[in-house]
Amino acid sequence: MSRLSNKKTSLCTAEPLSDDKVCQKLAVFRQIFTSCFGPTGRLKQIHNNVGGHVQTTSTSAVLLKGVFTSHPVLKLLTASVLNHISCFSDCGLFAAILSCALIENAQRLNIETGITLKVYRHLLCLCKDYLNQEECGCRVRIDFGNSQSLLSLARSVIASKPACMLTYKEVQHVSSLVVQAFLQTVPCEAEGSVCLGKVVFVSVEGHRAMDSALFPGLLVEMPEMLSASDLKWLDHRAITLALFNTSLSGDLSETGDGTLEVSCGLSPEAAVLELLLRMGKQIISDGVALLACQKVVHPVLKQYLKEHHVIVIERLGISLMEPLSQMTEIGALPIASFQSPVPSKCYGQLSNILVKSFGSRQMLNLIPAGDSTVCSLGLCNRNETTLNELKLTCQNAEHVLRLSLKSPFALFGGGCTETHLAAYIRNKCSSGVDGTLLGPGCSPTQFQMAADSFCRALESVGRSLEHDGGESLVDLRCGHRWSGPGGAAPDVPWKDVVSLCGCGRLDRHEGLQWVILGGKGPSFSPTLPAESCAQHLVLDSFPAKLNALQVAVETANLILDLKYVIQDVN
Amino acid sequence: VKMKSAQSLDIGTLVQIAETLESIVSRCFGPNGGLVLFTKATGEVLLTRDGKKILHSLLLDHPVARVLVDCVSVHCSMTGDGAKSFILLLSALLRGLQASVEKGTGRQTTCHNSSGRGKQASQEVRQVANCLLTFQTQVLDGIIKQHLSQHVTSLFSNNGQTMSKDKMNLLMEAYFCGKTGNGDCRFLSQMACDYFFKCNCEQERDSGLNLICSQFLELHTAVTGLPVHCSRILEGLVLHRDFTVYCPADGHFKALVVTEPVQPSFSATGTTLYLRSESQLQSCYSWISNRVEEVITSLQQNQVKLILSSVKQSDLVIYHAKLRGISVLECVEGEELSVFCHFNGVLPLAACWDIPHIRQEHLADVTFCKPVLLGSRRYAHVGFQNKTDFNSHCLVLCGPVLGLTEQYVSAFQGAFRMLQQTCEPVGLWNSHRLHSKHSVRSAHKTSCSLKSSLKSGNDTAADRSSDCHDDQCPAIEELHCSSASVDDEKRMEGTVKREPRKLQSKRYDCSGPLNGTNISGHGSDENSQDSTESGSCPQQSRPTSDASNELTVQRKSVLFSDPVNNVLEKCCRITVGNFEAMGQVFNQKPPETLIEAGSILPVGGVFEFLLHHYLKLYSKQDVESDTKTACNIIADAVLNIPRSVYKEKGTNRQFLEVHTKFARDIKIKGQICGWLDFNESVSCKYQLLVSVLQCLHTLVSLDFLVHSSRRTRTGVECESEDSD
Repeated sequence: MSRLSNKKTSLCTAEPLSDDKVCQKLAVFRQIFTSCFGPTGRLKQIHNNVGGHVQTTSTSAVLLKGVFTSHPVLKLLTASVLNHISCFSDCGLFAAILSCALIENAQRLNIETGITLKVYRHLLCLCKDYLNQEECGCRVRIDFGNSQSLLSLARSVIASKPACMLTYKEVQHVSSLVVQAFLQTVPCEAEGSVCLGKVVFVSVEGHRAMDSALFPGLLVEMPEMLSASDLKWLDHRAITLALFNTSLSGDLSETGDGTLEVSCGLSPEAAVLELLLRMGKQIISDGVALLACQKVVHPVLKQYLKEHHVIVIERLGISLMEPLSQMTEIGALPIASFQSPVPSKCYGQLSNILVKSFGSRQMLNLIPAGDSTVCSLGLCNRNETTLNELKLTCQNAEHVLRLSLKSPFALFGGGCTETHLAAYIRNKCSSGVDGTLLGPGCSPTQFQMAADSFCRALESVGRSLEHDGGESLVDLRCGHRWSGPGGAAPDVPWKDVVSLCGCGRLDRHEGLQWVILGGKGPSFSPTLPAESCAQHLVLDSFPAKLNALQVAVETANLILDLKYVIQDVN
Repeated sequence: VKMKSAQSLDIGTLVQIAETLESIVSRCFGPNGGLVLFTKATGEVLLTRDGKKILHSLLLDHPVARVLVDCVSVHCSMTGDGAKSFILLLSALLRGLQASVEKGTGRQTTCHNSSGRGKQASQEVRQVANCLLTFQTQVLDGIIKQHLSQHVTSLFSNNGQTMSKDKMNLLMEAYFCGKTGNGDCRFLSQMACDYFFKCNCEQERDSGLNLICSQFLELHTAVTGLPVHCSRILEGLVLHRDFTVYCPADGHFKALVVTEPVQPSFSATGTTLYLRSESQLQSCYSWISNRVEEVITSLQQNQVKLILSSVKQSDLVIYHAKLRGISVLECVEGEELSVFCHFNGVLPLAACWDIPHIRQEHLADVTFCKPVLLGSRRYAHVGFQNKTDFNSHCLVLCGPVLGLTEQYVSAFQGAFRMLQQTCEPVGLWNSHRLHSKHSVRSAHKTSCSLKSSLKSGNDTAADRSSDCHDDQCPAIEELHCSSASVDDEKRMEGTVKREPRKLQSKRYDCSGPLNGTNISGHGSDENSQDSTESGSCPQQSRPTSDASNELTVQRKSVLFSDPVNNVLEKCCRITVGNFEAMGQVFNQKPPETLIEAGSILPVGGVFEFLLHHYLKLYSKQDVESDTKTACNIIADAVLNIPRSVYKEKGTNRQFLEVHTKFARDIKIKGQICGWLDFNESVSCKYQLLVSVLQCLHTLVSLDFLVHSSRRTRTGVECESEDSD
């Protein structure tokens, strides 16, 4: 009680954005994100000054969780980006950079904030409508008959995470593994509602990423007592599996709230063990060849089963239970009772059990019978940090591929979507806007200024991909982003120094014209590039980017709309 | 009481405090107002435009400010709106009061020393304040009834029968404009209206709105990480848990609500299990296992494909449920379960022993149940056949950040509160709601519903006793005192002792809400028969001399052991609320209505302009000078609200234009025209004025702040006293 004290009055600051310190913090924040963006982004090392774990990363999720944000405005920004990532796993940096850019640009304008907000909101709607249109010029339909576009999607996610430290070849290898794993999780016959399978990630450090491999079924730790010779007893047509989710340790459990009194010389444990062995006897007579248990198995039972050539896998953990039951042919049900006889319909079937050496580890590979939607992706990388980053990246890539099932589109990556959208909006706005749309108090000039700040923010995201002093260009037909060398001689035509656009869809031989991105160029209506046979497109997830765009604009609007910051200082 | 200091309080201080608050809220007021970002000590971030939230988050120190914030809270919980206007109006009134007093004392300077002058001033202030208090009954009500009512339009068409969707939309949109960001209000208001009509609230307006307001927590799901436009309305109910077991099922089936573990416990609290042989332990285990299997099988035979449980169920139960294709949802909030039970007209099952003898009143008809992914979390989405008039739907409210989602949620809740207030008529000479004539009837109904729930409790207990005899486990005979049935008896004995207190408290709970509706007591003529019969208060109405009767009472008390008791009680409370509202539907309109139900006026200060106009007219008539002063003060103060609405870059130009136009219209045409289509509720506005006047009176009556250190150990608790 003595430590209770009166609550202090909250700290109340008016117009937080008018404070230079806040703007400075925001600029630093933006600088961090911008420098991480894209395949050539710079890495960040996160550590605290009292020692402990050091993380090297350029991923927005890790970065945002690791960075301590002092100011409420930054907290708000962080929270909204993290929320986006938790739903979509991708485009976090895009959202953060765009949001910061929108705020900074809006502040430089000499317009009342309310008007800027209205214009931003209006333009967001324009963008959304355009992206959802059939004739949208920066969107491609994903062809599920061909793995090319899926591969591109996965590759863009993996290649844009430089902290994985992968070579070009390794990127290719890992992205093809992720796509294979994803395809494996989609069931073959699709009727009614489809339930996707699961990819289980297993990671081993100290090996090259090229050693990563995909395994059918599940990879589990090799049980201690098991040797390769034990597998020779297996019937290789069908292996019956019994899956337990209750503890088989033989402890007296669930005795209720009351007290238990045991008469002298009586051993309840022995009684329970007898039940366990009775169950063991039953499953042996049922022809079970593999007993898998989520928790611990009593050593006596283990020994007993081993003598009868039943393989025992214990301490499976809750995360592997669902995939294991999913991959057995009829669907093994986790059994929760050893006290009563096990019904035969709980057993599942596997086709084989193999010992695989993966990296430096010996692992047991449970191979499903027939078609299964469960597979294990074994990932290797040189050290712990890069491995962690790779694992996270692959999970994100897999999620992005899953999202593509819902809306089968992809957007051009490499900054092309951003510049294209900016060009589209500039063109749309130059033809004038319906004044009544924005209500009174908004003059056409103000509208133009705010729209310009919106477009510049979009373009600045595209420009952020450039880290090595290069110049960002935009072509005047499709509005894609090109990167040219910085400080090129003014008399050399752009055509001679550029090769491919950011997403790889266009090349320089198509009779295009270029201007510097963000400079004064003529307004034009960007078009969809003609179908090309370009192999290595850079594609971004459509749902993730669309949501990131919305989140970025909405968050920027919120921050711009702030009149007060009230801080509880207790 | 040890006095630390006494601080005198004059009107200047009050004005200062009110103006400080005014400067904060005015930036967030009106269509161009901004947001406030509030960070809690825990690091959570909250974004809001809600005046009440802003005021609370300031954690004000000054006792007067705290009293003020409390007044605002009370007002807001009544109308769901008007916190910012409250502050604006109050500070304008205080300013007016101060000005008039200064003018008064300046005129008659009889005392030259400052203290005498101050005393005179405070006397004058109190005089005017008293006048303001009687102002409501003497002047305001009259003006509203005579003059304002001619300008008012109604939310309803067809003589108050149906609600006009367009008008409601405009009312809601204006409300959301004040509570959320500008871009979202149209979408949100559209959604709020859709929700209202989808839930069939137009048929049973009052009960529907009452239900939405009171059970809003259960009827909505907040989703963070998605833009607001992903918000939608879902049919049925979303239970905020993921399935432990999900087995897809087609067609109609039954669902069961349980509030206790299905698996029988090995030994209960307070009992001892005496183990004498190993086989005994084994048979206990297998008996439990068989018992669970039997229970689940009987559920399967009853077409139950969904178990909703408020507690965690054992692995064994989950396993058997999965084997038999029954979906299980564990650890569901008690409130959610009671809402589910209410919609389905079923009772939760407490005694899982009874499952083999389960009766239809425990089985809910479910049309579908499936997992639903909202944001990054998975919940259970259940649809069912409605047994009530309320066509159950639930809201999914999305926002990009947690703090913002919360703002949408509270705005929605407030919107329905406001609608509820608008749809209730305001009676004359009565500042609050109308008292239902039929509340006696509602009380009667409540006791009936209570009776039925208790009766079923009795029945299940009786069933259980037979059940225990049927299903003696093999081990029990050897166990003597450890058998489940014996230990059950024991547990009963244990609880019987607690029973009177428990039932007492229960009775208190049930009668609480009834008192609120002014029932004349249980002994009223038409009701007395029922209330004795009802059995809702057994010790009072039923002498328990009969032995068997006593047994049932005892058993019942077992059934009401805590978790169950809670759920049932909550269940009862819902029904109470519902019938209360039903009572008002049947209510005939009292002869004297001040503001008709559903009265609305255009937004943009029309109410204030009208009031200003008529008050000025009134004060020009031959009235007492004090009343005249009060009229003038209020007439000027109400204009502070439209002044803030039309404030643009600190200038008053737009306000003056609007006001001049209004004055011209009312003088020439005698009516108002050319306003925006958006509407606001007259009764909320009226209520606001009344609340502010009451608050003002409280504040002005203070003249000393006495700081005392009593009760609080570390800090200073400030108590304000009137030292006259």
